[in-house]
Amino acid sequence: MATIFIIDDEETIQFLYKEGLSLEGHKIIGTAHDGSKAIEFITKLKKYPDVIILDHRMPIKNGLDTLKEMRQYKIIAKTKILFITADPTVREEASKLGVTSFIQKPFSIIKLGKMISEIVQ
Amino acid sequence: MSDKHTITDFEEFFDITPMSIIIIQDIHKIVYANRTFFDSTGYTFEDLDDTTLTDLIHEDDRSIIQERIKILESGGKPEETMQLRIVSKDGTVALSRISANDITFNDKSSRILTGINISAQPLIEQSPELVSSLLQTLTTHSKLGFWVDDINDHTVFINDRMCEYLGYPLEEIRTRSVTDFFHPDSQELYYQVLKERTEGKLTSSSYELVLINKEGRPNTYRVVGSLLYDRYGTPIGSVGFFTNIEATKKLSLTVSVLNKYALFSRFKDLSSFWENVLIDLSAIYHADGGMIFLDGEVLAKQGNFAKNFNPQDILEDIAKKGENITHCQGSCKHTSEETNSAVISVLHLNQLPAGFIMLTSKIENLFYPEDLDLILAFSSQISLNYEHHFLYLQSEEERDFVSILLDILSHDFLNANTSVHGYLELLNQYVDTKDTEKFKSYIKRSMSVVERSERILQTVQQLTKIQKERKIRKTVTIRPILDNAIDVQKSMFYDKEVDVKVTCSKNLKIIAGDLLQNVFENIISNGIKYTYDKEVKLEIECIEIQEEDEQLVEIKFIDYGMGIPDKDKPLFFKRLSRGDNRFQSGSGLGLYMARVLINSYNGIIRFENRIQDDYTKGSAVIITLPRG
Repeated sequence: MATIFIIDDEETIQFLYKEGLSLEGHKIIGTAHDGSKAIEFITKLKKYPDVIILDHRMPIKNGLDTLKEMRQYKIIAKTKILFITADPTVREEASKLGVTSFIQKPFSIIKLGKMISEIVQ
Repeated sequence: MSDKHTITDFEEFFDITPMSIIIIQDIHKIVYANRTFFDSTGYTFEDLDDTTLTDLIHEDDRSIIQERIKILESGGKPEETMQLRIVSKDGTVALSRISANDITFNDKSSRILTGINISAQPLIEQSPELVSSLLQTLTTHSKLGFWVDDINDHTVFINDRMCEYLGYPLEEIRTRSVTDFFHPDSQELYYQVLKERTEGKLTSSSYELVLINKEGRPNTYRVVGSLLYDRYGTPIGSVGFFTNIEATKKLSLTVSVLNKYALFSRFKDLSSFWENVLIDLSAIYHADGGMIFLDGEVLAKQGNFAKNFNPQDILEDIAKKGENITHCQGSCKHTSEETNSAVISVLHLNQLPAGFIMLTSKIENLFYPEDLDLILAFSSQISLNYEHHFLYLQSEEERDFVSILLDILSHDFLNANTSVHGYLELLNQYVDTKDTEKFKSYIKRSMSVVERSERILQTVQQLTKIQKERKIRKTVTIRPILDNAIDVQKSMFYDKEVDVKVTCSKNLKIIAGDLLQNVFENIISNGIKYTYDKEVKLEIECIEIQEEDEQLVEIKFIDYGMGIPDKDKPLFFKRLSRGDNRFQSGSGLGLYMARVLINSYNGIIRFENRIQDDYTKGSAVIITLPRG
């Protein structure tokens, strides 16, 4: 079981994560529509989540910019980031910032739940 | 020479020249001689009392003077230059090259003789013609205009070239100052230069002056001028050499302006393109009015035009005659009562006459024949530049559209697919549990996503359509469109309680297009999304405003959300590229598209803070459109 924080600007996707990942026993500890709000939330937590699902394509602050800010708070070092993008250039950038797990849409929510279980083991 | 002069005035002035100067009246009586003359001949002023020019000349050369007197008495015109041997007080003889010119001195018709002792200098001995030609070049036959003013701006000397430049005979101009001919724009510059010179900051300088000739035409001159001083170092006048650079300057400026408008990147906004062209052209050709008419629209206008002036008729008339340029001098009242010269040069688009550039002036005969050639060349080139520029902007816009379509297809559709696929997976997981609440919830959300996909698809269809049709506008009633947009967006946010207060008259109409609802939805969606509370409060107001001659409607969307920092506000409406973090997903239309659409409806869209000076209290998106 992993504690998960979701950063995605789409309400229906957020709900899907909540429902689908709970089937695998994961616990969604919070959601945010954009990076700024997410960092504000996460930095107030006593314990960082095991996994952060971060979508790259978001308004205001995209995934890469969010990652850069997360580095300042050492969030990347303390938690696993699952970065959602299909763009190879963005993947390369994100790798440099310390991301090791990538997925791209469309994906199976059931498989994603299992993948997270493997990551946190 | 000015009638107001006294000998004392000239004494100081003429003393600085290396030439001997004497003034004679009544054909041969000497009334004035300068210091150089006295120094070189040894005579005193008293010695010259009752002395004639003949008395000073070597007896072998007196016949030359007698011959000249005869010619003058018979009304003829003797040679202006002559070589004479002058006898000094001590009896020595010096060969002098003397020039004679008519002047008025102490109210009397006089002759001024300027002489150089050509026997005193080795160079002159070898080539006496050299000095003579130098003097002539500087004065009478120079290609340069030559003008000498005293310290009070009274003319002392003008050469023939200067008279030719200004179009006056010497008799008309000799009592006037060069400053009388200044174009108003040149006055300030000239007096500034003069001030700097007198203060000793600038003894000589090169600058440009615009002088008005007898026909009233302004001409630009390159002037090299300097102050003249007396032997005590006091400024007593000024001398200027004038070169007419009007034609060269027009050519150079025309090329420069064409070059300026060939650089597309400088003119992203075509709305000011033609206004700038007209301003620049008017300045080059000294026009005080003008118009640029293209594709049935007056794109730029300066000055007044007659009420019945119809640019389309003018264009058709010129095109019928097969002319590319036409001009009128002195009878241009069809353009306006004040116009005395006008030039109309046709603009072509796709090689067809599509408009014209017109320059007008109150001055009769303002335009020179070579001006017409230049204006015609300018018009041909600028319309090509415009066509290129227009195509460039159009292709940029099309690239934007393609980019947005790709964004929608690659992002929004993927999101929709992911959602539907995910909810189907969940239904499959729960199928045996018979948890109807979950079933209902997943099916409802899937339906909502599918509906949204349909709308995205419609948006894609609309986007492809608006490439051609976005300029088509019609009168629409705001309220039903607003109500539909609110309903759609409320249904998108299940877990939020959205309260929208609308203050908008039911019959208020604006001029917009079919895609207005998408714009409204996008703004409402952002307002809901960026209010992080469960309870979302939005206010929408329609305000009728009157701006100059225009009747407008402002539609104000106020939210109580997180707000937008001032530095980020302009970014929201800028052009997007793939992966741009400002792309607003959800409705499929970003704020960039909202701006493109609102602009194409001749409206504007802008951000403000809900509470001035505190962006954190929410935003107001304001759309201004023409009232229907």
